[in-house]
Amino acid sequence: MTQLGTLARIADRLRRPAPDPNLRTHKEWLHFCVQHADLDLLLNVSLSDDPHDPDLGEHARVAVLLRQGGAWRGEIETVPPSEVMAYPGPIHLRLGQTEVRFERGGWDIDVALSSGLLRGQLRLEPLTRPASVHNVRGLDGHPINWTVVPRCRCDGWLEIEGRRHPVHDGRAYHDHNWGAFAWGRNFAWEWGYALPEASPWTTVFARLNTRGHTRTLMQLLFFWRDDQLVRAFRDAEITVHRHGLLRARRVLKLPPVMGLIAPSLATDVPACIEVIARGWGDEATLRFTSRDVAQVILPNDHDLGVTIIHEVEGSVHAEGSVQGERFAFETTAVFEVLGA
Amino acid sequence: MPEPRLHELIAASLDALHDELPAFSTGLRRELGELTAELVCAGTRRVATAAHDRVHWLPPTGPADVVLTTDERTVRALLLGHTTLADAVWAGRLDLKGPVPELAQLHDVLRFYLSGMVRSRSGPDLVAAFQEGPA
Repeated sequence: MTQLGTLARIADRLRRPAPDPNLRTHKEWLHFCVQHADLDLLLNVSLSDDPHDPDLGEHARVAVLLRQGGAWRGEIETVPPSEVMAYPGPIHLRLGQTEVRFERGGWDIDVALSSGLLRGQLRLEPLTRPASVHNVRGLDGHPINWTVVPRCRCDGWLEIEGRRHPVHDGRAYHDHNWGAFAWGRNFAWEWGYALPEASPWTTVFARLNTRGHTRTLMQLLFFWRDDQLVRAFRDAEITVHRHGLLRARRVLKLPPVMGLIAPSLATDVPACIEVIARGWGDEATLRFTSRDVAQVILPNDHDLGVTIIHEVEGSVHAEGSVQGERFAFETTAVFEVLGA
Repeated sequence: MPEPRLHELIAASLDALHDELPAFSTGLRRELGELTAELVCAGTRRVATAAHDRVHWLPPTGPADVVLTTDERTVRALLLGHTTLADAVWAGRLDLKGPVPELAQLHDVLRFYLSGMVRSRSGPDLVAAFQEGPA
């Protein structure tokens, strides 16, 4: 196994704490994004406690978003408990026909939605070292945790509605989140990454705010050069500006039934997110310009409202200087913006 | 004539709410109050009626305060996100009759019902079974 594979295996493990009947808000998910030719794939496998029904234990879901030819498609498959296999430790989990295993220094993913929208086999091998941010405290007192391997090489194939697409030397991103929090509480996040082609640079931005975006609880802007994390801008080093609002003419809503509860096309997604970071002689500016949006709509755990996760397609322009080396790059990207 | 599957879906989902999320079931009964809301689908009429601690889905015994007339194809399109409630109304595929305050109340009742449905253990399976019919 390569050194990067060993580091990823150590950092990326399923947590799966023992159920806490008094809390029932534990959530854990693995998120994979693949960029290949004109195709963007977002695959999210998640396990979350059911806040209402202690007998049910937890919800297992496979969420897929595909962007091809300028349009979003997607689906969220709910997997019954009898078809879930997930134990703490090295990554090996199966939700229905979808399986993720960490083997031989990379992630092997078999995905198959029962609807037939997507099947595929992918292998992701890390090209960067992992980074972890633990114990980010939200406003309801329980920490959330995050491990990211921002750049991977991806090979394999995808079959979308029966049409096969080989994936060779694609760019991929992976992160893993876990913690106890309830949808609808006083938090919202903005998060995104950029994997420019033919560039040694990789960047990840994340920010945790209050739900109304009136206060920032944590923010970071990380830069990797080749496989090394060379700069981690944090908190006071970073200023974020939200410019304008994205006005979409149509919005894919998943699962579709949630579109009946949250039918509006208006979003609070900025037209542009500008991140400016400075400190210790380093500086960086990242501009994400939004183009199109899809929504994953989740019922709040403790009230009748919903939490909307916006998956925003757009472009990133980044430039700056880290450790005396200047850089500038542009690429397409998908950012995620949480809204009410 | 067999019961339209839409009526079966609604009756089963109200049972599921009562069994799985009793607080939602009670809340839905409170939202409905004294309103009688009738749904006509494929010529078959059913009425949402509050009784005891829950909402029942029963044949009508008299005129309702509001009447919603539609077909299963339209409901499937709504559940799949292929159309919106407003577009279905404008296209004449979903007809609403009743005084405005009662229609506004029906909107709140439907929203509450859907909010419970998407949180219930059986909700996704019930919707999936209904959607297996012709789109």
